[in-house]
Amino acid sequence: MRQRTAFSRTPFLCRNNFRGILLLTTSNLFLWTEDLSVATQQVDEQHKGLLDLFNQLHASISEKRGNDTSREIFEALVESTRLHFLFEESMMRLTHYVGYPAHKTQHEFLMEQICAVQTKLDNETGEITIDFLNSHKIWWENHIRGSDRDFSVHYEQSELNKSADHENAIASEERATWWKFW
Amino acid sequence: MSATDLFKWSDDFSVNIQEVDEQHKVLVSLLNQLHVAILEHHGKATSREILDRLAEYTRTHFMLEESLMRLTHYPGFEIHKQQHEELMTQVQTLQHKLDKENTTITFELLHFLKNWLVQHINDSDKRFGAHFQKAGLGQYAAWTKEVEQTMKKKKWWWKFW
Repeated sequence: MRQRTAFSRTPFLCRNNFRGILLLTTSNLFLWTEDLSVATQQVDEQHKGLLDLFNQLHASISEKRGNDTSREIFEALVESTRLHFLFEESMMRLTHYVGYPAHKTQHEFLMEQICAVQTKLDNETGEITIDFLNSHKIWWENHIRGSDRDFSVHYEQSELNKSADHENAIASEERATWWKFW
Repeated sequence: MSATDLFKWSDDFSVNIQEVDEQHKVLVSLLNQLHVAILEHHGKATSREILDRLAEYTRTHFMLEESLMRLTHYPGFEIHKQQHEELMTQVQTLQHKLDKENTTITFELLHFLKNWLVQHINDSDKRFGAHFQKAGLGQYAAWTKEVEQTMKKKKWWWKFW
């Protein structure tokens, strides 16, 4: 049996449903599928951007493109994850979501894992491993299908959504660039 | 508020959406931190770090505002968004200059940022705040008690927020 990392042994992941989870192999990417869709187009686009960066990072590591390249992609992933979490949490506070504290705790959990890797990279005491990427992917699959879906249900019933039943389409250029550094 | 504060927050700046107000307070706090760093000569690296955090947080904040404007069909959305983009371009240019040239963050720049924020909140953001109320979203003007408590007791891994 595959050795589990400290990351995948955590209570949060153990409480979650592991159905349908595929461990990454070197050729196994994290692809967007419709069943990952949530209530707002904007959040979907953000998730897609994160998956894309994740796949780039995975490719960079499995193809051994060098530490600098991987680090650069990793930093972009960290930055856009932070931006995405901040945005989601704003929408939760704004729409009085009762699941907000618990959802925020899950975000903090992932950010702590990421920060730990950042520290290791800074101190040159570790690297980004395939195990870490696997755990990261599992976390996202569980999180989007579970917690994000729960918030989605709440959001759909909120007054904010009712006032916006014809949500304006997000311009394609904005869709493509929201996570990029400027 | 200390004697060295550049910007003193008051409820006069409220746009009647607590989530937006709280984010504005974070921006004010970062501006004040930058002011102190320059006033007390904390060094280039420190002030640069604060500026970068300010830029990053501003970006998050604009994203929320623009999203709310889009969702509520705010007629002033395009103009408002353009104001955001213009500021971000200026900040980006500044960051680039700090990287490539031997320039520093000046008091002039701080005053520019402060004045931009004051004017933007008082004109543009307050107009959107009024629209938010008119759109029938007054119930979301304030946080719930539970949210308030969470915001008080949670640790912040991104240092601010």
